[in-house]
Amino acid sequence: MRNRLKVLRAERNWSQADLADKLDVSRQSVNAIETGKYDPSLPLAFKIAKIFALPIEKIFSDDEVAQAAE
Amino acid sequence: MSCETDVTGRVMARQYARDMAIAALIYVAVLVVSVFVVRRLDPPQWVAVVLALASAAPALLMMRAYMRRFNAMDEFQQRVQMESMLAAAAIVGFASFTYGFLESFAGFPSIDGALLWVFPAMTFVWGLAQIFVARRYK
Amino acid sequence: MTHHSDTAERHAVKQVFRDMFFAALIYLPTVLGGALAIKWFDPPQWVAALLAIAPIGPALLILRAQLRYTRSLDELHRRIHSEAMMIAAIVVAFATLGYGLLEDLADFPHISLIWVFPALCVAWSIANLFVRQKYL
Repeated sequence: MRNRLKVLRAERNWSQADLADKLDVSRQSVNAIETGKYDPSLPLAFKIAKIFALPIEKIFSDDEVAQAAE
Repeated sequence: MSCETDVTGRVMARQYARDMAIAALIYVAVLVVSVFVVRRLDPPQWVAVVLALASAAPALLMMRAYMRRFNAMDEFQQRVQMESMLAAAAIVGFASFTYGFLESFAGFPSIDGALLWVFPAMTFVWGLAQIFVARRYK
Repeated sequence: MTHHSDTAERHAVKQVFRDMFFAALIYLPTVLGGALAIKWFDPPQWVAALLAIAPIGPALLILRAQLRYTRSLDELHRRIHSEAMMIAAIVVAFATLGYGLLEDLADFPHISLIWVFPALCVAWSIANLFVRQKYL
């Protein structure tokens, strides 16, 4: 899985800790998701989408699909 | 599509059953030989140590077979496996704790090589726990 | 910048330490008291058995503290804990099998089953360090 969390966060000028607060997870978990070491659960992914007010597929994408698009 | 994964699943299951059966056979064979050698031939200590460790080695084969199966599972199945293993570890951990106390303080029989039974007990409880964990998701 | 989640985590850690501390505070006297009572007063078998089982109560308190802590974690940390526990279970299962055979065949000194549980805890803590590396 790939994601644009880091970019979206930067656009809003949020730190990892800010986003972690909004999601009610630890800062380490936000970092692990951003670096692609951990794929969030579906509920957490929806929560992320809601906070950024974007559809999930605008934030997360399948590796293969992303490569095909490039 | 679902038919295809069913076939793959069945092949995996058969492969797993075969790997496990082979590991179990090796285990029993090595154990029988080891016990015979140690009890009858009275070998030097280091030979007994080597035989004991060799008898434990097939368990590694079992774990490898299981890891292979685990990795082939989908995330839901993996979750069921993991939750039931946690339950098994907790139950066996506390059960052995209790028996340990009974053994040391209440004169319950001290089983020679009681530790041997932790592995089978965990496997058994784990299999049992899978039924309950799987039921929770039905 | 409130660092709310970091504070929450620190709070959870403080809570688990407090829970564990009190559980241990009940646990240790129960074990020692039970052992000494059996040794000195030589009570009938069933009383001795009860005294021997008594530490299970505080042990369950320890388990409860652990569960409470796990529940307060976010999903990634919970996953790290579960994976580490699984590794610990596998390692301890194999180690006990190996040592049991050494005991049986090579006359190694008898180790009580009491040690399975502490071994699980230690293996779990060590496995935690490695699993953390994978995700954090």
